[in-house]
Amino acid sequence: MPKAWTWLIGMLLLTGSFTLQAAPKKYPEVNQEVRAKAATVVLKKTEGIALLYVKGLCCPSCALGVRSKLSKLKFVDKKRFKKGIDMDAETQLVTIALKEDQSIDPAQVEKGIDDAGYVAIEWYTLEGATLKAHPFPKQKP
Amino acid sequence: MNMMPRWSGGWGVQTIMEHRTERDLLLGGEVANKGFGEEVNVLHLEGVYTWRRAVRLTAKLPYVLNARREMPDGSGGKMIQRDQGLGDLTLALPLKKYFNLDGRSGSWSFKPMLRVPLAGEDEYQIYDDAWGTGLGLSYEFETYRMFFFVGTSGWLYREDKPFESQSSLDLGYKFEAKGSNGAILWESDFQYKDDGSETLLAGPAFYWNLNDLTHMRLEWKHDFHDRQGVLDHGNGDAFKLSIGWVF
Repeated sequence: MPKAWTWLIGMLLLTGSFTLQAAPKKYPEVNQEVRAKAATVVLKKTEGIALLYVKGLCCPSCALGVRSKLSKLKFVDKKRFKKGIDMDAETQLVTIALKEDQSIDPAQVEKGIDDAGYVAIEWYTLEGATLKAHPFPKQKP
Repeated sequence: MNMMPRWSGGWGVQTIMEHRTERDLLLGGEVANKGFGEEVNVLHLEGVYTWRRAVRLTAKLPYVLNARREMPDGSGGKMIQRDQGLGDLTLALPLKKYFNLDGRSGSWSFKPMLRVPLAGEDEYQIYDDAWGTGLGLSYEFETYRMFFFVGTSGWLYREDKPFESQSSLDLGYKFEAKGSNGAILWESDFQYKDDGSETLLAGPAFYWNLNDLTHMRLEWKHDFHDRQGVLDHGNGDAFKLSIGWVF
């Protein structure tokens, strides 16, 4: 059999197997409901953080710019996590460690994420046991 | 991956060690001289700067550490020819349109390119030593688990060199482990010259993002189909080991 056919059959098998493997196991679909559950768990578990949904952040390597841009902001506690930023490419959630008694500046965070090549959608807080989403300025209607 | 650095003001450098061997001398689809081989070792130096996420500049400069090929000497024997030194510089201005979806991110790229002749005269030439202009188009996306790339590019040269094109299809499975991440890929390239040469080469690659700064890549490509429009070497394998840093 010509070697080019070997390549073609190999490609078809690989494409099929990669497509099957591409579906995340832990979160069958990364949708708002799944993300909200994950965000609630993180906010209950960790204090002194801001938790953001960054649309498109599904490649840990490409997202290094998010850490690079956000860690320069003055309210970020760089001693926690990795330079103050933790990223979950599976749920597209970014955790910012905040300095004591500090809160995020949404406009600065949104600009940093935009410069990094992604879209900041909203950040979350817990009010009692209820998760509340706060849209970033450019996402407001 | 290819989308790095996608942040404004990001830059990076990369060195690639390439080892390529060809087993036979081909003419058309036939082996003209079996066992007349070629061995090439090239060090590639590459740099990238992204000043806005949609616009970046890349520079690639190869240095031929040593290249050796066997050619017919006209009396039934073998003649050894060698090449060494700088190759041709390639400058490119990739213009990218990114998209960010829920669980998926990618880009469309339009890439004008310029080839600057820096390769000197040797017994034979790995690089063409000719001015050239090229254009590349590509589409790529990633999910949390999957990487996909498809692209094509073409080169026209000022000297009497054939038009060259390359089309690529890459598939990757991504993983995270112990604070780092990486991907296992299967990459395929089809190279065509309008002198009738065509090569289909494919093989596995392994990418590893060691930390925020350092990235490594290992790839092996095998010639699955080789045809030379003029007498040239083929039926070989190429290995590349690269290490890069982004800031």
